Amino acid sequence: MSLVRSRLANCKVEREPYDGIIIQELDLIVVGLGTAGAIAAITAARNGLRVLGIDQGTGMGGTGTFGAVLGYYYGQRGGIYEDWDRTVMEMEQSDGDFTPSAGVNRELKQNVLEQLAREAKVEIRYESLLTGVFMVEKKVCGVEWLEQGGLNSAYARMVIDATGDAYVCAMAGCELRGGREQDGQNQPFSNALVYMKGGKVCYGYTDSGYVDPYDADSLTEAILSSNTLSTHLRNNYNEGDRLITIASQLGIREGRFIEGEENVTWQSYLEEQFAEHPIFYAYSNLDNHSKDLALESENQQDWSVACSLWGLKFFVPIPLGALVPKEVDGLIVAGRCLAVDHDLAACVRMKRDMQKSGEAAAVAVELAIRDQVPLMNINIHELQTRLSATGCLTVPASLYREHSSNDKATSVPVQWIEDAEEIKQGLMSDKPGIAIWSARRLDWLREQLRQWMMSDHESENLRKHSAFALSLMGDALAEKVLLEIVSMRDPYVPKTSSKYNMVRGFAAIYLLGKVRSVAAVDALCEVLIDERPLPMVERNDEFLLDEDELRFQYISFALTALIRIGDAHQVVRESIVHGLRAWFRLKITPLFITMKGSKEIKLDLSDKLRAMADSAISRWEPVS
Amino acid sequence: MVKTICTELLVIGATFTGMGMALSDPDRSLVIESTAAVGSEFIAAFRPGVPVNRLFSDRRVLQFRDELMRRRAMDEAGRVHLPALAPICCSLLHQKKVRIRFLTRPMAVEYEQGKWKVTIISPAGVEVIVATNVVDTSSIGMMLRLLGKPNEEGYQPYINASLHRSEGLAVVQDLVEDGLIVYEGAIDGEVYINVSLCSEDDWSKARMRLKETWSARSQASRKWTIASVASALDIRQQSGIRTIDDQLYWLPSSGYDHPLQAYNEGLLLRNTQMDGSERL
Repeated sequence: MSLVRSRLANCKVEREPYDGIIIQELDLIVVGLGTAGAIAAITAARNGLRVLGIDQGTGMGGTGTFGAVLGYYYGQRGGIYEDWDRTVMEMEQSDGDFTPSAGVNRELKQNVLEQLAREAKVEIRYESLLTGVFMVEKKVCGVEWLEQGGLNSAYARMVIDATGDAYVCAMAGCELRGGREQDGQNQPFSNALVYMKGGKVCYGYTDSGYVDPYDADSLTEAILSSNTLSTHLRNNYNEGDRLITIASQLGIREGRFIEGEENVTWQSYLEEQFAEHPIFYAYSNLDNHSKDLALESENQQDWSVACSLWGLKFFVPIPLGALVPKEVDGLIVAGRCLAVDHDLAACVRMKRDMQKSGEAAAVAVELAIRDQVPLMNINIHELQTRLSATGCLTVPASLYREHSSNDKATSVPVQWIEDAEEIKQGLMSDKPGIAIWSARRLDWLREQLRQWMMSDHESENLRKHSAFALSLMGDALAEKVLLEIVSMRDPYVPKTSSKYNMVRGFAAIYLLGKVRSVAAVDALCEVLIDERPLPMVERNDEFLLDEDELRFQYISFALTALIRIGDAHQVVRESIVHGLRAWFRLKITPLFITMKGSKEIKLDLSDKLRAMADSAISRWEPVS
Repeated sequence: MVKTICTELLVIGATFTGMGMALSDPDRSLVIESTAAVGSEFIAAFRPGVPVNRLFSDRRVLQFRDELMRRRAMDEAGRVHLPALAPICCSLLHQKKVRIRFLTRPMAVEYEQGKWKVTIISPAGVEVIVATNVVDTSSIGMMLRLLGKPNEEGYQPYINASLHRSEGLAVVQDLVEDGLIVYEGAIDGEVYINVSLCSEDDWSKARMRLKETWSARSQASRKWTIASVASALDIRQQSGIRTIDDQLYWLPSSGYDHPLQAYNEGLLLRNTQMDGSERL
């Protein structure tokens, strides 16, 4: 069995036999010493492994230090990182050398991590960029990197890919996926900055556009353009909120995901197929920052559009297999490239959980090396016991939780409702999301929902939200009420989530597409060309900035609904094509959306929508 | 299949000198930068530099200086507000459509048929750049290292930090300490310290030296705290261009005392070439 060196060229794997000399041999190499990798390297070394950590930057901690995202956004508490964060807090209060900071002090966190790594005898190589992976058949057995002195390499019994973007896995030829199905788009990135305010080091960021983290030209454009936003390029720099630095690392929310030995997808989550032996839990809401939700999966739109459940927090059990790339030995991932999909990655990416993934990967490697077995054959109960001892694995009392909008620290468990009267009250309320989703799960409630929907004596909310629940069950009887909602461009916005609630008018359009409603074709074609003013509700600023954005939502949902209907029903394709061409003749005006937190970037998505329409027409043309 | 990119001039490092060279002739230049930032030898290193007593004559340098002053990123005395320089430079590079690639490093170099073939690594993997001329503007002399040539010049590294004064106005006289060099930026309260290092110190050692020096500061200095530590080492080289080989040069941007001076030198060097003297 011969040794090969596997590298990337143009994002493609290139392998060649390797006969160079590799002197250094280790138990473990951790590639990337960021949020997950720093924890992994220190944990593994503390547990007795000989560890080398390499990072392309100049320190440890990643997003929380060099990325300048100092605070935590959800994630489950517990795990070894909590002790280290506590040390950071104590040092900040006691030593007086560093300026107090919002969130977790990034300078002290870097110092604490580096001190722990030194004590544990982790060998660290900064400013070292991964260039290749050594393999024998399907087993990774070392890596090659470029450091300031030139190329270097080492063998290891195991490698942890903590690059965040699965670079080791990509070089090893592992199967990867990424982005949403419609257009491959991932989540927006940010470019954080650090400033002084009220005697404290603070941080801030807005969403800054989209970037392909595997394309240097795309990254370059992202760096240049995000630096020229008015948050960074100011007309007048002054003492107020004095800028200290711009983060040296872009805030990339989503990259590639591995195809794991086990995969945790949004579909499997909704079907309640949970991991039998979780090694940690992730916790957040389905925090997709994109505003072009009509282009997301139906599963995501069921949740976030039809039910406005964007803000509901939930726990996701992560199994060991979600960290182990399929059919490749000697390699495990830690960090955001674990085996989730685009939809679920909106939740499974928070810093607390990524630190947990680092701890879990390190202990898994230790057990595999000790017992000389492949990672998937380690004693999973021993791993769970070890991780439970530090709090890394803490089984939540309830999978779903709702937080008070003004107090993230307190939360209450949420259960799906199973009582008809409670569901009725929920559907009538101004927070109908939980009730709609609950009703969708109860097929025995279908007849009752139909009665509520069709009764003239019931409240408007009950009628309309019953129609929402029925359409999520695939019930075409809901289309009459949905069409009524669309016809009036119903401006009602529920209050189910703290933000990102969806206007009932365009949510109904999505649902007409979901039930593949032939009867809706004319109404939806009309939405495309309707230039009348749209009724706008004020209290929805973060998702809908202005009427232009509302119009984008109506048109994008109408277009995607029509395409779904046309794909399902050959008989209406001609009418839909006619409607789409009428829209083209209207000379499609720019369809803008802004980025979350920023009014400055206006992305014109008209070309993208037009291309979707053209693609559908050409797909149907032989028939129509 | 390895992709090949051709250019007349390859500039190693989006340093102030590197930016000056590329902006002088954007269509025939390509800049590669190993980090995600511009001007790291000053900005990320927290090195505001020393205001220079010289009059710049090049129109583009004057325009750049005026832009800095208009935005209050530089004061009359020539002191700069360091973090403001990055967005202003990025804006300039964007406007002038300079060909630049961040997060891209040279990993091998060889001379072939009168041109330099530089193998680079970026997030997409390995690529090749074929360039007539190569100018390395890095502080460490990346090309020298790749060619295995010794750097016989000594250099002085520092680790720097940005400070905050917790009480009252910023009075830098408080900060008279052994082993500390203090620089002021253009904004009130913008103060940086330099701690000198040994040339063999790695990042871990450098941060330990900074921490030790800072923790031992006098009572008078204790109103000051470290707000941020530099993410690049401040490596001071001697100024001027060195010929490494045919059509291969080293012009470390960190050899200049001030970002504007480094920028000026980059522009001037390329101008000389454009005027028909020895081509770079």
